[in-house]
Amino acid sequence: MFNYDKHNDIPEAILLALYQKLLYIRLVSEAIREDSLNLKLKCPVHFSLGQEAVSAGAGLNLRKDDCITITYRSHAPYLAKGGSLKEMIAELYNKKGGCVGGIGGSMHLSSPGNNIFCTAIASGGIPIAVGLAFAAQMQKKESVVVAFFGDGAADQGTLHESLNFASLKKLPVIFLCENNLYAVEASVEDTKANTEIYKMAITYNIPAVRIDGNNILDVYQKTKKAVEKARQNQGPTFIEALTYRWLEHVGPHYEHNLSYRSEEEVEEWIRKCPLKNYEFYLLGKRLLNETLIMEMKNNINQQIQEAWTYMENSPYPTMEGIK
Amino acid sequence: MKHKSKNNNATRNISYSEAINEAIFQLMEQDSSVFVMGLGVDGSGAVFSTTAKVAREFPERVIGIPLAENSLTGVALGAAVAGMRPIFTHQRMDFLLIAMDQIVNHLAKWEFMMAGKSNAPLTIRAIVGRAVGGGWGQASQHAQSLQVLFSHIPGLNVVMPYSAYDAKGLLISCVRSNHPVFFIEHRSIHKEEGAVPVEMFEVPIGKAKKIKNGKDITLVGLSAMNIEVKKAVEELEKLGVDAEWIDLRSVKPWDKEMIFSSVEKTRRLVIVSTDHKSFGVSAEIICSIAEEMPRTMKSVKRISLPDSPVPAGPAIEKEYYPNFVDVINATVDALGLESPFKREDIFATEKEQIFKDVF
Repeated sequence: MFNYDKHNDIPEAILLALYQKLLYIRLVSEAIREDSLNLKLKCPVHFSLGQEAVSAGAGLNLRKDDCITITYRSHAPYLAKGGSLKEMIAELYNKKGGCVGGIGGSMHLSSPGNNIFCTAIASGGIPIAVGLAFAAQMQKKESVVVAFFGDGAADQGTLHESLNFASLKKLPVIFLCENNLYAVEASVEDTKANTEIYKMAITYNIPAVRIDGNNILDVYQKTKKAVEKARQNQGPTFIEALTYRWLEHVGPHYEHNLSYRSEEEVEEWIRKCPLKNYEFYLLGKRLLNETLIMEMKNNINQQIQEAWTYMENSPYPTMEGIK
Repeated sequence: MKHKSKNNNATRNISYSEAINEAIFQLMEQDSSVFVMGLGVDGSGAVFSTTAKVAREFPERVIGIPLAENSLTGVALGAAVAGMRPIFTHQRMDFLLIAMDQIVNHLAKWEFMMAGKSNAPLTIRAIVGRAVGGGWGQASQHAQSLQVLFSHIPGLNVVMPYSAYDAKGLLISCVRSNHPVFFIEHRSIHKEEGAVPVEMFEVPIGKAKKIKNGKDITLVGLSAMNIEVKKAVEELEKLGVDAEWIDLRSVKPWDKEMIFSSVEKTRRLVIVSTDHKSFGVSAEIICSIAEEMPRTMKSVKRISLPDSPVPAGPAIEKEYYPNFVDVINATVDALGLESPFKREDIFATEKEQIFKDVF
C-alpha cells in the first residue's frame, strides 16, 4: 500500500525506533480509549488513532532542546517528543502528579521541561512557535521549533500572519499541518477555497510540500530535512501531512452512524493504518519478527501499567498554591 | 566600565516620554534579553520619541513588525517563554483588541497552564490617545482606555503611571517582573515633566502613591486624570477643603491597604478614572470598600467617562471628558458645600494645541 522502499538509506536502528514509537503511541491510545469507553475516564479526549505516524515520524528528529507547540489532539506529539507517560495519564485523570498538576486534562498536555507547549485553541500555538524560534535566533541557539496544527487551524488568520513573520525573519520553525480532512465535522472541501493547504505557505516564499502522513518514512525523511535546514539557519518549512482520524472529533467512538462521512471512507482509511502497514513492511524485510513484536508490546504494556499505578496513587490537587 | 554617577540619588527634571526612553535604554543596556517590538518602534516618530534612543543604540533589538497584533503577541509570548524579555509597544491601545486571543487565552493563562514550570515575562506598552481640547480629536477607535478589560482577566497585571518618576520606575519593574504586565500610558501626559533619578530604580507594582495628605476627603486619580485632580486640590485648598490625593498607579493589583486606610480617616471618596463609568475601576474599589468595611462611608462618587464611545470634535470632547471642575463639584457636594465653579467657565481659557503635540 505504501512505498517504503524508496527510503532505503534509513539505518535499520532508526527503522526499528520508528516502529517502536508508533507502537507505543498506539498501545497507549488504546489503553486510554478503553477507560474512556467504560467511563472510568471522564475527560474529553481527542484521540489521534490512525494519524500517529505524523507525530512519531517527526518526533524522532527532535532533540530535547527543540520545542513543539501542540493542540488539543495532543497525545501523539506529546509522547513522540518524550513527554512522560506517567504524568500524561495522571493529567488525564486530573491528578496532582499530572504534567501540569492535574488542572488541565487531555487538552493541556504541556511539559515545559521537555519543551512541549500545548494549547486547546486551534491555531493558538502557531505564533507562539514562531516566537520560540525568534528567541532561538536572537539567542543564537541551534534549537528548532515544530508547530503542530490541523487543517481547521489553517483557516485562521494567525497562520498567515505567522507564516509571513517566520519567512520574513527566516526563523527556525517547521509548520507541520496534520490534515485529517475534517475540522470537527466540516470537511476541507466545505471549508477551503483551496484544499491544498501547503500552497498557502508558497505565497509567503516558504518551501512547502504535501506528503502522505500515514507513511512514517515519508514523514521522517521530510521532517528530517526540514529540521536540518532550520538548524542551519536556512529558514522555515511547511509540511502538509495527509492523514485521517478514525474516531469521532472528541471521544472514543467510531462514528459510522453519522452523516458527515461514510463508513466506506473510514474503512478505507483504516486499511491505510500507519502501524499495520509499516509492521508488514518490516516483517517482510525480516527486521521484525513476532517474538520481537511481543517483546516490545510487553515492555510498553509494563510502562502503561506503571503509569496507571502512578496515577492511582497521586492525589487530586487543591486550589492551594494555584494562582 | 561605564562611568557611574557618584550620587545615586541624583535627579533632574525630564518628561514622561523621556523617562520611558531612559528606562528602556537602561534595561536594554543591562540585560541583553530585553528587546522592543512594535509598529513604528524603529520609525521616524519612534512612538512619540519613547524608543528613539534604543533604536539608535541597539538597532538589532528594536524590531519593527508587520500589522498583525494577534500573532505578534503570540510571537512575543513565545520569545518570553524562551527566556527573552520583550517590550511589545502599541501606539494606540485600541489595537490590542485584535490580539485578545493571544492575550486572554494564552498570555494570561500561560503560567497557570504550565503549572508554574514556565512563565511569560512580557511587558505590553499601550498608549491611550486623547485630544486635549482645540481639535485633533482621536475619536472612538483611537482613544479608548481599556484597562478594565485586561484587569478582569486572572493572570494579567495592569499599571498606569501618571508621573515621569513612576513611568521610569514602574516600567523597570514591569520588564523585570516574571509575569505579564500591561504598562498603559496616556498620550496627554507624555510631555509632563517631573524629577526623575538618573540611575535605575523600581516602583513596586500594586502600590498607590499618596501625593498629598488631607483629612476631609480622599481623591483617587488614575493616569492623566491626576492632572484634573491636581488642579482641583489646589482650588479646594483655597476653599478651605483639605483633600487627600492618591495616585492609584496600579490598577491590577490595586493598593487596597492605602485606599482603605485613607477612607477610614476621611469617610468620603471621589475616584477619577479614565475608563467608562459602568463596571469600571471605581466600581471595583467602591464595591470592595462596601464589602470589606461596611458603614464606613458617608459619600462615594465616580468621575469617569460616560457610557458612550469617544466622540471627536472640539466642543463635544469638552462635554465628554471630565475635568477639574467636575472633581471640585463632586467634592464640595460630598461635603455639603456650595461650588463657586461652573463646568463651562474653564473652557475659554484653554490654549490651542498643535497636531504633533497630541497625535
